[in-house]
Amino acid sequence: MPARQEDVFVNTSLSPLSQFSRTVKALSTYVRSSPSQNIFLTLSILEDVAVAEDIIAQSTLPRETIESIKRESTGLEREAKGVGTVGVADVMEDIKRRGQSVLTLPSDAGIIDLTVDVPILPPRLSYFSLFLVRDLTFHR
Amino acid sequence: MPGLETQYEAIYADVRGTYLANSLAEISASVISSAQGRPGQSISLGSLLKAVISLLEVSSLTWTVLSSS
Repeated sequence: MPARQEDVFVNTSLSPLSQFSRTVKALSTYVRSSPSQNIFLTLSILEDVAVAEDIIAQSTLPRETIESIKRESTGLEREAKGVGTVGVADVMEDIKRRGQSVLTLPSDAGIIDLTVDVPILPPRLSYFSLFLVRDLTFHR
Repeated sequence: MPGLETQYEAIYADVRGTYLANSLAEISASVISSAQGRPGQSISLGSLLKAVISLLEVSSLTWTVLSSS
């Protein structure tokens, strides 16, 4: 890309990249506000970030712009996973703790709900159901 | 013609900057609304990521096409 064109490109990219950054931060704040309640949103974010890596790798944008998008994306992924803060890992740990504290199985042949804070699975995220049944519930 | 080129760049930068900012502002607002579970919104972070990359790429290509015409 010629130098002058790159200058114009970089200058006019600042505002949209800033907008992207603000949105990512808002999402991050929202996810952290209630990790259990927002677990499905967090899972969808993690999937989107994984897909984004492929899209970013194929992009023809200048390196600085790509790096800027990658930084935001990686930051959000870390927040969602719970690296250094509260995220999916903490929700899973909480469920494990509840499972470990179960000493006796219910006598009425019911299910012990270890995910009381997790909302009912929304239909549009039903493709997560196999993983969620495996990871988020504890059947007797 | 340096003067014309500078004027062209200024107009291009203005149009491109405004177009990108307006387009992404709308998509960003929809992504946040969707995350908060507001009805009628189902735009994910993935859509925003694709929009950012696609818009920036298209604008870059436009420059190349206009400059060569």
